[in-house]
Amino acid sequence: MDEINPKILDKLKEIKENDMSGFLKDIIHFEFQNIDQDRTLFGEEYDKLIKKYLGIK
Amino acid sequence: MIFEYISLKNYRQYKEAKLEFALPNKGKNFTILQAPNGVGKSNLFNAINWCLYGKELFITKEEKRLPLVNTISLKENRKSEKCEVEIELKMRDEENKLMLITRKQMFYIDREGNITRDSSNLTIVREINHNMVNITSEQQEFINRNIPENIKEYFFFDGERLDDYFKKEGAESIKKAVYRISHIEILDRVINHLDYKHKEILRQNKDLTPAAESIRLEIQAAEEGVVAIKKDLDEKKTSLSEARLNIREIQEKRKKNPVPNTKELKEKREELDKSLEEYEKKIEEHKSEFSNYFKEIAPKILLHESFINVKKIIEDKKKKKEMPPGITKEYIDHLLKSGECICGREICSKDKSKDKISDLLNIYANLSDIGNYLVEMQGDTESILRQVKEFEKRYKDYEKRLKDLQMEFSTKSQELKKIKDKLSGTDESFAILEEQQQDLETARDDMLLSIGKLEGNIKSGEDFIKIRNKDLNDELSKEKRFAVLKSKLDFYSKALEKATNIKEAIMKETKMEIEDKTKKQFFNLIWNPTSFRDIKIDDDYNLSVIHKSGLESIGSLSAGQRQVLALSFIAALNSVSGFKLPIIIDTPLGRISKETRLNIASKLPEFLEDKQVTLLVTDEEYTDEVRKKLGKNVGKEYEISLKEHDDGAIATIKEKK
Amino acid sequence: MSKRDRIFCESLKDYQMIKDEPGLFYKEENASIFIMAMALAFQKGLKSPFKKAKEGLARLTYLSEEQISMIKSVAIMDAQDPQVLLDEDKVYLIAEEYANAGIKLLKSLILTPDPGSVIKKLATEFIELIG
Repeated sequence: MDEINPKILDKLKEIKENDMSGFLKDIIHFEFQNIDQDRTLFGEEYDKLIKKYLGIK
Repeated sequence: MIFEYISLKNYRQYKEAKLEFALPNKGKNFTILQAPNGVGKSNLFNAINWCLYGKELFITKEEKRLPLVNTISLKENRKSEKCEVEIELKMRDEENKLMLITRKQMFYIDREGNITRDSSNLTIVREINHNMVNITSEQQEFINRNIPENIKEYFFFDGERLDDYFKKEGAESIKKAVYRISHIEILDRVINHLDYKHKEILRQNKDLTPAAESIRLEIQAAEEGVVAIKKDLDEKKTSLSEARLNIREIQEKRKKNPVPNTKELKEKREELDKSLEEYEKKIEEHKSEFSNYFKEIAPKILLHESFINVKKIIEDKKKKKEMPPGITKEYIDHLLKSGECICGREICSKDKSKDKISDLLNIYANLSDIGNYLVEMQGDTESILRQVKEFEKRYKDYEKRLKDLQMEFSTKSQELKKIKDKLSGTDESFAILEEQQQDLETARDDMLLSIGKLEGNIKSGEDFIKIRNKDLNDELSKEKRFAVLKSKLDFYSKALEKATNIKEAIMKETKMEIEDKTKKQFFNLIWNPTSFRDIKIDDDYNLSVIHKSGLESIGSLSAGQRQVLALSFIAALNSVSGFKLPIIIDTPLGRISKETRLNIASKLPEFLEDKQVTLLVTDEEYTDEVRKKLGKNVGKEYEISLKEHDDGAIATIKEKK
Repeated sequence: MSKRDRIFCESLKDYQMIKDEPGLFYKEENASIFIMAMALAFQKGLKSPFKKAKEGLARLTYLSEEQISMIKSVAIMDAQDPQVLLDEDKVYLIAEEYANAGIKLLKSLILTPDPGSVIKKLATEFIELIG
């Protein structure tokens, strides 16, 4: 299955704030892609995403 | 995901084999692989695992010593000095797109017979938009995403070890598998990372006001404290479930050996003691009685020939009329005295008649005496001969009665011993069990108290943290320069909250779904559903079966019932996994009685409908009746046979038409 | 000559040993032991004339009718003539000589370690004997 458990995606859809659900969706996808890595450079990715969704530079 | 075929070349005993799986359409979703034990059915599963992950999960010690490559092929290729193992797996995903995975490994053999090998390499071909595309990078990741590595938990089941599901280790690995498969694992990561980032932002900002900084430090200390308490709590919870398990075990033990009624037993013991004494006496008396008889009869038996002789002599004399004597001695005496003979003539001493009569007198006297002696003996003779004749019967009667008495004695002795054992043995062991249970219950209650306290502490800690976070928030709001910081913090907090909620919801839903499905299947398939009330799965994925009496009864299920429970659980896991993976069950009907086997066989297709099922069965399991029950669901049937050679073995897969 | 009033044996000690041994003839009467010894020897055809001085074993009045009959039947068989009954002394002598041989047999039979088996052993022989 190349996809995240649809139940999770359903729960995300229930989140009314778009940026929150978008942020979580991206993060979840990122973690999914890197599930087998012990150490991920999640720090950078998270920084990137939060800036994106908060509209910060 | 369904398997279309697996082809094996030079893999262990499979020199060259191909297995096409039944495709689950039109209800013929079962593939049967029949083979006697030891032939290598499990290695088929190992082959799949090796092809996908380069690892074999179910290798016996003996097999570990052998190389992966078929030894016969290797020897055959001695000239070229190399031989390749190849396993190819063709699959289709849920969108019916093709996936072909091939793993190859080259083995080398030198003159001395030493075997070396290259590392294996993987080829993945996938259908994307009607094109066959080679996947060359991140191959293992691709496979893991499609068929997660710990597939053991939800697609391959060892029928001989289904019981492992009911043990703690089994439950743990199921929990891990469920977490992985429902991506709760991913959510965990998300939560951890969000938390980390949240703290990091604050930590890294060197520009906080002293007030803000001090609150932050407080929060940090409190969080660390809570983490420590949570760890402690986890340990206590583990101890608690262990104690609960132990208590259950003891309860089961006690149920099996209920307290004997000591008073009753003691009374019985006394009764038996007395009875045994009586029997001993009876036996002695019986022996002594016969002894006395024997002493009397023995010489008679030894002399019975001489009595037969006496009897004959008497009979002879009677025949000759010598007995009893015709004329008595007294009569002759009387004749002499009277001087008159029988015929009336005078007896006088002048002629020889008196002498003649005197002589006669002597002869008769003797005859008479002998006759008298014999007559005296006649009674005894008859009697003794009669007694001797009776001996055999009397002896046999004696022996029989003796045997009966001795048997009675022995039976009662054994009874007495049993009672004595019960009184001495279980007195002790029962008391020990009772004590153990009490100790465990006390420990359990203490733990519950501690756990309660710890949970309370955690809550107050978390409440404190919440409040202080709010305070921190307020503090940061005071200054415009913290606006961005604050917005990030808020965002992370909210994200954390949402992620946690989602995780909990999914955990709960997944567990409930598995529980419901297991329950539904179990009650649908078990033949005595009214005996049971409920099936429960706790947070740690321990299975529990509640009897109609309200008691936990997983420990007292029969082998057949456990099998049904395990199969229901498996079916539930498989469907909840959302992966739609094929199911392979090795020896599903192994350890069960004939009748139960037929029951399960008839229900298997029902609860595994729509799934691609492969059953690896032994000849003993796969009786004609079982075959008939599964019949209409079987799409493909194979027989595996093994031929042993000096250099190794070859297994062949042949389709049964 | 004085009428015989008792039966004799060669060694009272033998009789005592048998009487002392817990078993079939424990504390049994001399007369009974005598009869058994006589019968054992007679069945095997063993007779043993007295070598030593005789010792008085039991008065004739202690013998039962049956026991007297047994003695007489032995004498008749031995002499092959019922006439022997006319000589009371001879009759008893014959019995005594058989008992003299038989007492040794009886001793070895009785002094076996397992008294229970004496009966069993003899019983099986007896059943065969009776036929």
